[in-house]
Formats: sequence, C-alpha cells, structure tokens
Amino acid sequence: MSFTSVHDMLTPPKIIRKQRFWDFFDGDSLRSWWAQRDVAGTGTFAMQATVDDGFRITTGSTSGNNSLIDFNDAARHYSHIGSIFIGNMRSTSVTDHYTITGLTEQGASPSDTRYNWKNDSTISFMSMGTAVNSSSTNVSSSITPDTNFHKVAAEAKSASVIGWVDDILEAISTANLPDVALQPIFRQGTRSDNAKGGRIKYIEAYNT
Amino acid sequence: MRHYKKLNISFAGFLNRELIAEEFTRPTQIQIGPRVQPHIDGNITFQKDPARPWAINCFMAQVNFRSSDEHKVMRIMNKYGGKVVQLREELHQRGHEETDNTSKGKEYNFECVDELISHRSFN
Repeated sequence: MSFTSVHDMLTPPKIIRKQRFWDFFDGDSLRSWWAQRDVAGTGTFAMQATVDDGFRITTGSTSGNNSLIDFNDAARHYSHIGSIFIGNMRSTSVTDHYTITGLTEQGASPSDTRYNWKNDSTISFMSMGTAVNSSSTNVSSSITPDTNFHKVAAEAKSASVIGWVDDILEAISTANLPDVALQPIFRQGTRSDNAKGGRIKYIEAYNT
Repeated sequence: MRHYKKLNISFAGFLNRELIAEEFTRPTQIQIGPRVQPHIDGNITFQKDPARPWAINCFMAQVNFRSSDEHKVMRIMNKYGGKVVQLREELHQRGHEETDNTSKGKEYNFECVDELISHRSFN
C-alpha cells in the first residue's frame, strides 16, 4: 500500500490531523523550540550523559528558587477543552522540592492557568493540579513520591481533567479547569537552601 | 456558599475505573463561559482496594463533591453496587497550597471540605 503523504500514513482517512508535539530529550543539547528560564535563582540545564536519564534541571540553592523549560509563552497550541499531555519525569529527592510537568498558560507563574502532574514535598502523594486565573486545586493520587521515573498523563475535556500515573487512572478534577490555550512545561523548584534536581525524558502533547 | 462533602466508595465486580470516571464527569448541556458544566462537581482519587489488592476490578473512589450533587453521587454508588468505606483523609481531592510568609515561604497543603462521610466500625 502506498501513501501520498506522511499525513496520510499517520492519520485515518477523512480526518485532518490536529497539532501534536513530542520530544524524547535525546542528543547533546535541548532542541531549539524550548526556552530555558530561571524564575528565581540560577538553575543548571543539561542533557544527562547517562543511560535513560533524559534532561536535567537543577535549581539554585536558595529556598524558593525554581527553573523551567517551556515554549517561552510564545506558542500555546493545546486546547483547554480537548488535549492530552504525556510526560515521563522523576525527581532526584523526595524532600523540600517540587517537580512539575504538564500544560500551562504562563510558564513563570506557577499558580496561573494550567493542568499538570507534580511531585511536591508538601503533599504526601503525587498529585494532579488544575488552575484557572490563580485559583488552583490539587487532587491526590494514591502514588507515594519516590525518585523513579513515572509516566504521567492527563486529558483536558469539556467538563473535566482526567489523570493517569503509569497508565492507571488515578485522579479526576472538575474544579478550576483551565480556560485558555496552553503550552508544555517542565519545572523544578526547591523549598530549602539546597539545590534540587529533576529529570524529564519524554513529553508529548496533542489536541483531541 | 459552596459546601463540600467527602466520602470513599468501594466498588467491586466487573467494573473499571474509566466507567466510573465517565459516570462522574460526563458533560451536561449547560455552557459556562469556555466550558461545559460537569454532571457532578466532584474531584476523585482512585485507589486499589487494600482488602483485595490483586483484583483489578475492585477499587475505591474517594470523592469530594458539592453537597447539592449528593443524590447523583449516591445514585452512581447504588447503580454499581458501591459501598461507603473508611475515608483516607490523607488523600486530598480539593487540596490547596498556602504559603507561610513568616518562615521562608514554606508551603502547606490543606483541603477544602466541610463534611466527611465514613463508615463506622463496630468491632
């Protein structure tokens, strides 16, 4: 069977393919579509030179320091009522830190409009967060944070956001759902005077 | 004034989490700004049933819902043979973060809930 285009190879007939993005965080540097940003303090951004450990963000060493990668608030392609986000992330610590990946409106405003998954030392379980205009809600999963990679995923629908961890449905939120288009983000923060690290080795986002 | 209740429901049988999720989150016809009102204003955490951790079709759904939707929650519970079981209060479904500005920005997590519904052990 022959196809007339790559679009036809990847998409069922009579369907116009919607926007999709993915990154395996391989190679010796971060791809150019990402912006590396320090929200507070000076973080370190680097590809890990180890097997299957992805890209690393290490924060500065003052409480409240945090750094991130996103699309620099310049390209928000993903719908707040019909998109899916998938990430594979881990934290290198389980104390005094947070590691977040998901879709957000403003990368540098952690409480602004978004839906995401996070490991946060103030919460005893991995949690799915939703927020709109700085009103936020966290829904716990039953997964205790550790330093292993976890595949996290969430789907924004018209009336809810549904979240999975390691392919198991864990959380649903119908509160404070985002109301504008969103961009991917990976963020690492510290809540103590020690630098904290996070790793990301896969991000995918697409409109449904 | 919104009033939120919380309970933990144990489901057993030929069910899966997606089915219960669909029951709770199916959209209504009511449009509110850029979104649609959900059938139930409720956030859920799914967990394995600790009494039957090997059974993938046995699970618990801890729900924090608006009290005006209580009859809908109870209807879903009855439809699928769910039972109210012990709450896991450490799992938050409507968690919020609060920053303590007096001690270097330490953040705490608390939950917005007004009423807890749980079973009572008579052992």
